[in-house]
Amino acid sequence: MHEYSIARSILESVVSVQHQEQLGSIPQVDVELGEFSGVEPVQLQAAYAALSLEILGYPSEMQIQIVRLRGRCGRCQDEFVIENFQFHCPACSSNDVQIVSGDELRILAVSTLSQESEP
Amino acid sequence: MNTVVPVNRDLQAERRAAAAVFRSELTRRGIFCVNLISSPGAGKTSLLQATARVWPEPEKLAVLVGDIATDRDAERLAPFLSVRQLTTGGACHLDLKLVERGFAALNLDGVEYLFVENIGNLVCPASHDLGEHLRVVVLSVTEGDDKPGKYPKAFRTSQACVISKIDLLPYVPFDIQAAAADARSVQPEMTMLPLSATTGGGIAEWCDYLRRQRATVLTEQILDISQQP
Repeated sequence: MHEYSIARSILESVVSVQHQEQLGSIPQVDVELGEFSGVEPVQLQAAYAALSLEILGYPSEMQIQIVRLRGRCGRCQDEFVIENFQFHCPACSSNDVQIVSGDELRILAVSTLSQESEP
Repeated sequence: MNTVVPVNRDLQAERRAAAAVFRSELTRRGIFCVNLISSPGAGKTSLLQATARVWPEPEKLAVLVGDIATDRDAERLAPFLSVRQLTTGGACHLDLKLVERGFAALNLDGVEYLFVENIGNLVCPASHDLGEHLRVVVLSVTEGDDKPGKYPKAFRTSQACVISKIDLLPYVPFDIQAAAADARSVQPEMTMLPLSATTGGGIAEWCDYLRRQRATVLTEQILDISQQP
């Protein structure tokens, strides 16, 4: 249950980008989340939506792109999706597997209402 | 009309970088930091008590002990070790800021080993690098030998697995070989350390393991730091 503190730090980033770039309201943030990050996406979205009212003063929502847990085999160099946390190479069965993706937590972009379209 | 403004801010990389800075500080001071994670009641505090009882110079050990509430663990450890209680007030894991604050409040004169006893929880602590040099997951025989595969991140991110309470093996259906095989299916390099804090069996091997790891890891890290531009 550390999704609330992560949602809060994402919102702090959103506010700082908003000030830096002098943006209008931000109804959406795009986030990349690894499936091995230990962060539960539905809870993160709910926490973000709830905290946006408090921090931004209006509703904002989070779009999440899930990044699969992928490994690279140290023996045959094959790259593959790690299914069910089985950390061995499907090609040569070696268990010398390095994680290459799946731990991401990255703010990709914010969507803002264009200044011109605002009254 | 919506305009998309790219941000590209990698929060994981920022967290890793902050933990690496703290790890370098520990390395520079010769303090080897061990993050102990487990489910509640697996025996982290008892392991530390047993360690301090046999350690030739217990004043070289220090502990930051995390709990949601109470300072019971700090009270248990205080007769043996330099200890500071970290109370999270509800949070299910320790984070780097809390550990850094506790570290600043500890008396670290001559300390060579800093144990961080995490909140009892096999889920969230696995996702938080506290700047430790070594992560140890403690699994007690009463929990069952099928746990490693059920909590893959806790075991994948640990370098050693202590099997605790082995004095209870005659009374519970726990197979050490099965637990080891399950742990190594997610972490092939896992060092398995079966022991009992009650009888003291396996504690000497655990202490030897800590001494070897401190020597190896700190040497590697000092070389890394000195090679940085």
